[in-house]
Order: sequence, then C-alpha cells, then structure tokens
Amino acid sequence: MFFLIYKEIKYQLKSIILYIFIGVVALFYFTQFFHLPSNIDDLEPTPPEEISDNMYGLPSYGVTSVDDPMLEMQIVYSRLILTARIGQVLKHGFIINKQLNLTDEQKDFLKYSANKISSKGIVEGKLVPNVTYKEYKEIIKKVDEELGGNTQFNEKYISSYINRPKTYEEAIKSFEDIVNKDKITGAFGRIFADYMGITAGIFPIFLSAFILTRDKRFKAHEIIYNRNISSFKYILSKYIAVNIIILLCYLAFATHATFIFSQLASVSNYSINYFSFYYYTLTWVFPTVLFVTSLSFLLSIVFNNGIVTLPVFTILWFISLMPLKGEYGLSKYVIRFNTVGQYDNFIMWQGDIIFNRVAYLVVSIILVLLASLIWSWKRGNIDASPKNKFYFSKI
Amino acid sequence: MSISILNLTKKYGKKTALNNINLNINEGMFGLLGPNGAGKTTLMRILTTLIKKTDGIITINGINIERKKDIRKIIGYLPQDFSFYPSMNVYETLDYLGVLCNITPAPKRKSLVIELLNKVNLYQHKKVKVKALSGGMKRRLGIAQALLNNPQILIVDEPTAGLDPEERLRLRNLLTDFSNKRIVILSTHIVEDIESTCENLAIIKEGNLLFSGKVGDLTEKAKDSVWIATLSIDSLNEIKNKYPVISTVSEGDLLKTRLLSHKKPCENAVKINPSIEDAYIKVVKDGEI
Repeated sequence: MFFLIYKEIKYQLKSIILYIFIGVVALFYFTQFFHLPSNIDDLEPTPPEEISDNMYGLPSYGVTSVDDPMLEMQIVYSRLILTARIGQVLKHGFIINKQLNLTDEQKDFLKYSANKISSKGIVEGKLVPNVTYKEYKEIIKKVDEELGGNTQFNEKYISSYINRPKTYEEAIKSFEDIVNKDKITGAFGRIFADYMGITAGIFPIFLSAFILTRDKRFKAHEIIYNRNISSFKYILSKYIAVNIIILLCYLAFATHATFIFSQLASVSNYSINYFSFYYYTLTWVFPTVLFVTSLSFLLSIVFNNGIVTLPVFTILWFISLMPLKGEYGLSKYVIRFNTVGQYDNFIMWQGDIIFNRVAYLVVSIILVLLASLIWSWKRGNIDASPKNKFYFSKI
Repeated sequence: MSISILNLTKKYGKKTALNNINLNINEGMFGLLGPNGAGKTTLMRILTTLIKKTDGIITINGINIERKKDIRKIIGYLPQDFSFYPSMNVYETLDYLGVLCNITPAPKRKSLVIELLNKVNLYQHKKVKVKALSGGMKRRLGIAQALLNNPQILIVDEPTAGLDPEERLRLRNLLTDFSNKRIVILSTHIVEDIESTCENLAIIKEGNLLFSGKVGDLTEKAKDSVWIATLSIDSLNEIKNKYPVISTVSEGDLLKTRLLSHKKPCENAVKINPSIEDAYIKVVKDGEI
C-alpha cells in the first residue's frame, strides 16, 4: 500500500494540475489572508485621547456583534426606515449579490413593518418597541419574504448587518484576548483556516476527480481490474496519496504564516503558539479536503466521469460559503469564521464546529468505503455503463 | 489444470454475444479463432472476471468463476487494446502492476521485472515512457505484464499484432515455453500463429461455437474440400458466385485460385491438402460442421 501511495504522489507531482492548484491557493493566501500588521503592537488600539486629530473626529475600533435583543431591534428598525428611504435592498444571489430597486408597495411595507415594531420610534437614543423580540423576528421574516427572499433581512444574513461600534475598552479586551488567549497565531490561524477552507471546498476536485477515471482514459483499466489487489487497498492508497499532497500544500502555507508571525512577535517580544496554523489546518481545513476528495472519488466512479463533480461541488460550495461566520450546521462542509480574534465567540461556537468537522470526517470515511464497494463491483462489470442502459438493466 | 465452460451464455439486452458455449481447455496452447464480432473478446473478458456471464457454469482449475479473488490470482491477461499511464516508463509500469499483483518484497519484484524485460527483449528500453513506445514494444510490454504473477492461465488477445516477423517468432516461442504445465489461450486473427503454436483450438462465429478440437481434426474436416484452379477473370467471377474463394494469385493473365467445394468445381481444378486457414474459412463459411 505504501508503494501505491508513493507512486500516486510521484504521479501527482508530475501533474501540471497540482501546480495550478498550488497557484490558486497561493493567490488566496497572499491576496486574502496576507494583510498583516507590520508590528504586533499595531494591533493594540490607540486611546481616544491620543487620536483627537483623527480626520473624522471619532476613534474607530471596529465593530462588534450585538447580543442585546433590544439593541438589535433598534438597529434593524433604523435599517428598515433607511432602506425604505433609499429604495434599494441588498439581495444575496447564488453567485453574486445585487442591489434591487424597491417598488412603492415594498417601500410602504417596510415603513409599515417599522411602525409595527415601534410606533414611537427611537426616543432619547432608545427604541420604544410595540412588540416582543419573538414578534419582531416574525415581522422581519415577513419583510424578507415581501422583498423576494434572501435579502439582507433574511435570518441567514441579518446578523452580519447588526453591528455596533466597539468601545475602547472592548477593543483593548479584544487585543488582550488575541495576545493572551490566542497567543496571536490562534486568532490569525482561524482566519487563515477560513480562507484556506474556501479553496479546499472546491479546488481539490481538479486533483481527485480524475484519478480513477484515468485508468480508463489511458486504457489501463482492464489490466488493473483483473489484478488480485483488493479494491479497498487500491482506492484507499489513491485517496491517501491525493490527500497527503493537498495537506502538504496547506501545511506549507501554514509554515510560511508561522514563520512570518514568529518574526513579527519577536520584534515586540510577544510569545506565539507555533502550532496554531498547523492545528487549524489539520482540524479545520483538512476535514473539508477529505470530504471533497472522497465525494469526488465516489461521483467519478459512479458516473465514470470526473467532470460531473464540478457542477455538484459548485452548488455545494456556494451554499456553504455564507454567512461569513456563526453557522456550523451539517449543511456546511466549508465552515467560515471570517474575523481576526473574537476568541469568546469562537469558544461559544467551538462545540458546533467540532461536531461539524468530526461529522465530515466520518462522512468522508463512509464515502471512501462506498467508493471502494462500487469500484469493486465495476471492476467485474466493465461493460456496465449508463450509456448502455438496456444492458445495464439486465445485469 | 483445466478450464471447463458449460452452457455459457452472455446476452446484451436482446443480443446474444455468446450462445450456450461448451468448451474444455486443458494444459498447453489453445487457439481461439473467429471473425470480428464473433464473441472472442467477450469470452476472454468473462474468463478474466471483467464481465459477468448471463448463464452457465465456468470453473478454472476447479475454482468457480464467481470466486473472482481466487481467479484473479491465477490468471494473466493481455487485452487487445493494451496501454498504460503514458508518463510511466517501462520498468515503472511493470513494477506498479507487480504491486497490484501483491508481489513483495520489492527486491523480489525487481528481479522478476528485470527477468521479464529480458524475456520480451525490452530491458534496454526500460526507461522509455509508455507514450514513446512503438506498437510492437507496447505489445511486448503487454506480454510482460501478463506474465507478472506467473499465472497458471494466460489469456492473450492478438498478441502478435504490430510485431515484426522476428519479434513475432520470439513471442510465439515465449508463449509456447510458457504454456508448459499451464494454459495459454491465444485469440488471434492470424491463423498462422495458431498453426505454429496451438495443439487445440476453437472457432466461434456470432456467439456460437463452430468447432472445438485438435488442429489436425480441423484440417481433416476440410479434407476433399479445397481445390486449386487456374482461371481467367471471367471464369473467376463465375466461380465466385458458386463457391467460396479462399485466395487468388495472379499468374500472367490468369489467376491461380484456391477455393472450397465438396465436388470438383471446374475442369482444371486440382484437389489439395487443406491448410488450417482453409479449414478455418470452410468452418466459418459453412456456419457449422
């Protein structure tokens, strides 16, 4: 088995597709992740009194999510009125998002909904609601439906719009969490895994989906199929090989990131966790890779065609990419945490994330076993093909 | 050592590829002859566990064909359309396929691969990539890979196609040597290959077994049926309508014609001893004996 793994790795190393794959991952790494501070101290928020010369007059420490239901209702109330006034709403599309112009009826519905939430509006900086939080949720659900669904008011997306500015104290706490709890690389490791996960969600299919169809393409299938190697051993060796190659690629970028952060930290005498990037690569990105390669193996065997995996994964990928954080159900094989830091938030979701990753690991193993079984059947039925339906139904 | 085929039928929908075949194959070289579409490849694919039979019983050395794992251990196969990963070289190809045959440890596999490369005269080309091999070299590589697991049953489809006469002779000798205490099934269009190597053969046409037996028995079947006559072009056209013509050779304005007939076809026809090719054509033309 080790020989077969070695041979497959050697074969992949000669493939131009592998280097294109590495190029695409590198592109994501450098353009999306690699916007790093020149010094760790640059991450520390400046006290408000020291930035009085700020051109806007107000210090900005970024935004934070809103946990208070009352505050959430207030922000959404304001957004309803604003949207009605602007006459446009953001609609999340399958591939791209669009700004849609609202009809007069829709604008009226937004105003009506805002009025239902609060007829008095915001008094002394606070909303005076007419409804409970549960009722407010129902109103917003109807708003989304009235606007055609998948708008910024959709339950799936609304949380990313409900933010408030951070206070200086909160910003300091965030910075301290990055330094003390995350040891810097933990915070950046998660966003590294987030971006690398996007690439892992689709691009590995170009390496894995054609491995098994290659035997037939090169007319080698008949002499491979009648060897006495077990189907499981054959499929598993190819599966392990392609995953080793892909994992090594991500680990190489993790090593680069670790090296850069060790240099940044040493300048300001901070200590970092040298294993964070590796940890998130293995526990966060790798299950995605395992799932993608196993499903592409299965699909390519079933359909005798690697191309089939492309539309399947394009759909799954887009479904999985949003929202940017906070949703870790089993429908998401690519999981997102598109933020630096927020350690407490991450800990809150950690249970869901672990469950998701373990589930995809188990699913991947099942898919590989299934792929082996189907391959085993096919090696004894080489004339069975969907193209030959009348024959297929006879065997 | 034997292969027993009993009432073998293979159907593709309504089309019958093999119809109730009964065949016993024993040690030595066994030839499988038949025109294109006769069902030879289907039969070989069934014997090599690549496709399933529709009906019938097949045992190889007493092992039922359904026990695929056990069958795969004892067979070697060279398909007609043999190829492999183009970027692998000759040595790597055999080494890789050796692993798929579970040949371990590596030193044992290495010496076996070198031995086979020498046997098929490919040792000096061991670093040549598959994509750069000529048709003949590819066939030789195909033979070598089929011998990797030292099979008790070797099944080869058109092994001499694309080889020059010297290589063809070498390969025939190789297969004949290998058939000692083993079964080698040779499917070919080249009757000469069978004539010079096989003691027993079978002829299949349109899925039906037309003949099975010794080469001598086949030629005996065509005894008193092969004639040679020197004919003008007009006479030849007339003869063609009445009798199956095996071959014609130009002799000046006339044509020396070899033909099949149960009685004397024309005045100057002379009865001759049939070759295996004559007998094969007679069996195929007659449909059955």
